[in-house]
Amino acid sequence: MCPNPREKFEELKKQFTPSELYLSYKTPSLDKAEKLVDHLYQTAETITRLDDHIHIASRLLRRLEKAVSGRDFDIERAKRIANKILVFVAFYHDIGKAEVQYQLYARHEFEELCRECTRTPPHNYSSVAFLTKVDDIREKFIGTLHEEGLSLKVADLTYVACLTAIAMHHEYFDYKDIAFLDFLTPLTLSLAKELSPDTMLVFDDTYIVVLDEAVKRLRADVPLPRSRGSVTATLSEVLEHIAVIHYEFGATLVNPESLSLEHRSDYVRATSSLAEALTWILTIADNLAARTRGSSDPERSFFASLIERYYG
Amino acid sequence: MKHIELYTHYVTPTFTKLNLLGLLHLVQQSKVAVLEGIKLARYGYAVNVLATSEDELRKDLAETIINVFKPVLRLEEVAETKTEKRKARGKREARHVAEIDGFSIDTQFLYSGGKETALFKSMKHTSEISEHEVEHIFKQVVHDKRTSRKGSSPSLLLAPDLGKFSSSSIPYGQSYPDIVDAKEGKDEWSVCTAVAMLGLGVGSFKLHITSDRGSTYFFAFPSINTNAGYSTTRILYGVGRRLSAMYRHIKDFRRDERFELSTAGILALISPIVKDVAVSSQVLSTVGLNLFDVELERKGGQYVRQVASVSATYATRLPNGLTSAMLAMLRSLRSLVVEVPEFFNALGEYLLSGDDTLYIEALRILASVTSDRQLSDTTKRVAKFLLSNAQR
Repeated sequence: MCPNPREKFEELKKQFTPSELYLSYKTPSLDKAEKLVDHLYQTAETITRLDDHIHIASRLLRRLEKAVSGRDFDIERAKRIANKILVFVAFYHDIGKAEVQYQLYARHEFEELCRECTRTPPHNYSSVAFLTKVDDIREKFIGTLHEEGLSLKVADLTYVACLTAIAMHHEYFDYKDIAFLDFLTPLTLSLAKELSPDTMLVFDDTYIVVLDEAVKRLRADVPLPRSRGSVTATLSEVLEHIAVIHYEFGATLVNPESLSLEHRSDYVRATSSLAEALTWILTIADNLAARTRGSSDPERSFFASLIERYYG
Repeated sequence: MKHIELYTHYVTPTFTKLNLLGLLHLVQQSKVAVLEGIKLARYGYAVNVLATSEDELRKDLAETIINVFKPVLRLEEVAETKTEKRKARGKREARHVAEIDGFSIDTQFLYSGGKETALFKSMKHTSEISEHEVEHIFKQVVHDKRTSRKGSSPSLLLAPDLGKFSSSSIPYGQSYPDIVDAKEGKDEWSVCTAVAMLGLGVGSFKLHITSDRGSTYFFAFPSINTNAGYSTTRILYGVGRRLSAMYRHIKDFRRDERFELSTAGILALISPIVKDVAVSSQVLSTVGLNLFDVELERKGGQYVRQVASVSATYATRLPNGLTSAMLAMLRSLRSLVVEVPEFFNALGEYLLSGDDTLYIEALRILASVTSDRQLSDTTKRVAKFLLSNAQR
């Protein structure tokens, strides 16, 4: 365990305003670094412009609604709802970067603070931690989608699909970590991620400024947390949630003999397709939005350049 | 939108916990109900769900029960030998075997006293359950009406057993709880029993080990002891699902004839699973872990039942690193089980005794594997990986 990342963070808080403080990645040139609020805004903005992909998401959504309630609804409305869902996913996908240890890592302070810790908690996991800890976001999300015309169950399943997309959006990058695991449990996940399960995740209450500002710029109706205090979670708690996400539509359906997925019902199939599509659309939007980050080669990810080539 | 409560029925504490896991599975599979959380309700639990209307939910739950049970349930009435067959025909009663999610419960072994047919019928009835009959899970029912008054048998609150039928040799005489939700002619069945068996099927780890002297059932499943919101409830259900998925991976190990594991070795094999959930329940202090060991001893053709609540102490002796490593290699572990059973036997003895030299002995066996030419590459790979994570 690190001595006290919070202390160091308090120091940083005195030097910057919240929206200046939170960075979206680790870069050598700190003063030119992209801010987290910009990245959240940029991703949510980018995702609304991916028309073809919104179309696919809306079709999957209609398929899910059909499988669950047997109802059809028109394409225009489906597109509007799909748009809302994607904005939600994009808006919250990197909120985990507001976690204190990630911010220290982004500012090259983390290694200084603790020489034994080589890794910060994965930010995609931190995002899930945030959303599960602040669970009035879920209520609002489901409520809004239900008002828009989705059935309650579909709204609920969609939320789980969003959570899955957020948990997985950076996993393709770190896939080698968990690829060797036969069995995903909180313990094996912490083994794969080389992190102690006791690690604390802390969101300082200034994170809310980032969210508020991003929403204001976005001019979209994104559910915000009701309480505005700081949020804390232990990594092991988060790993429980991540494990549940993996089991929700995946691991419990694996047939150990054939190692293939056996989907028993059409709506499970429809939800996992939706989750998969959301993950991929988020990945595209995320990488397109990150194009503006730095211009030198080492700063650009391999995936970003590939995605730019195909989707840019 | 309406907030609706679904209830578990109370028979014994264990039964109620399994009932809860079954209910959560139904809610998860339902096309109408949205999970909100769990509340403690007198002796049992209330599952809070959100649905458009109660009528719609009732209709949907009936459909869900039919759909959920169909693929996982297999029921069979068998008469073993010719004489038994004749006897069975004479009594007009055959041995009932129920299989849920690939786990076979011989109803006669686990439940006795004629109640096994009610258990069987309860599960059988799930294929034709009606909207009206589902009504039972909207109400809280206490089946165990016995009191601790002088002269009557104690409440089953004290009995850590597997279900309401399971009172064969416990000192309550013939006073079984009234289990029946509904009675139609001679058919006694109850929805809550079927749902509890569903909980056992989809939300628990179970292992059945047979030997000449009898057989042993091992069960592990999560439960909760406070009210819980959406997130915790999801984890509770998730832990159960994980346990049942692990069972599916490990159950084939048992079928292997080449097996040379001692009882301690079997304990070592399942300890990572127990440890993993034990760690989870430490993390989320509200989620508890239930471990049961049911021994069936064969005495003159009859089975004598002994139920024991197992503590997780032995499993907590397994270091975290080795636990994760064993789980990470679960599929390849099989080759180690077949080729180097001594490792598990030694490890199991360490877990039972807590003697550090036995742990070192187990690691030494592992280390010798890496240089043994006769062993397969998989075994070596697993051994190496376990060794590199064995530090405490």
